Amino acid sequence: MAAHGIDRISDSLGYLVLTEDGAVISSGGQLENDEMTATKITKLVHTAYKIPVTSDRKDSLKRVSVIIGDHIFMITVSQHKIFVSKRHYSPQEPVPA
Amino acid sequence: MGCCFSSDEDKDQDVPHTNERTPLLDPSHADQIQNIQGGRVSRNSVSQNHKGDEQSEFSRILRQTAINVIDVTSSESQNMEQGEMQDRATQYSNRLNMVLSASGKSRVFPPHLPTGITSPQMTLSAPPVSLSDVQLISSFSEKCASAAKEIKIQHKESLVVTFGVP
Repeated sequence: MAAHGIDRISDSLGYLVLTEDGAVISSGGQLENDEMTATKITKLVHTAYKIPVTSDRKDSLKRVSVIIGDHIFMITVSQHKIFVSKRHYSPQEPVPA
Repeated sequence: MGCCFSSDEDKDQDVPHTNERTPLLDPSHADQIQNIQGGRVSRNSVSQNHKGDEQSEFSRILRQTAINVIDVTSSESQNMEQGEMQDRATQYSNRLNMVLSASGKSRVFPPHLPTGITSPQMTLSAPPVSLSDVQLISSFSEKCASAAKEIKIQHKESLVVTFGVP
């Protein structure tokens, strides 16, 4: 209900839905009630929004990816809420141009 | 008897404003003690006393909890509209920031995040960044880090300049 469908992402290992000040609204999987990660991600998102993506500051970030080993944390913001999904990171080998 | 006695004693210990003039035993206590002593002073009363002690401790905890509990059911917050809640949240955080900045404390709540994207599920289930992008970013950040390390200050002129000295 509060997860907005991110609990149904196919290869998800865990998810978090946070308020903009970092309170956990919904969580599941490996990130269930993981308030420490929630605090870190909240700080990260607030910092990331300060970085201008374009020079006219019209656009802001769509998604933050944090890659740690073979895991990836995908973070996005929607409706003043922070959505986090932890997934396996198995990158495609770059195709040589 | 024992119940009153022990609970009063607890209260005395809890009172924060005790000073050197506060009597350790107030007169009513003394009466009760005399009552106890005048009456049946036996092992029975001691055990009763102990039991009463526990009882009063329980009731004290219960009372304390009741004081600390905020009754949320009585307020109309359940029927609050989403927009109204946002407004209140903004109002409260503004108020809080005002107080915090006035008191000289450095902790200010971060500004509100923008609305962001519309469908978080789509964005989060999209394929992750490609390895080449990650490599590009890590090689650039390594270069930036090494460039930042290379920065050196070259001393050219003296920091202290004397004026008008013959």
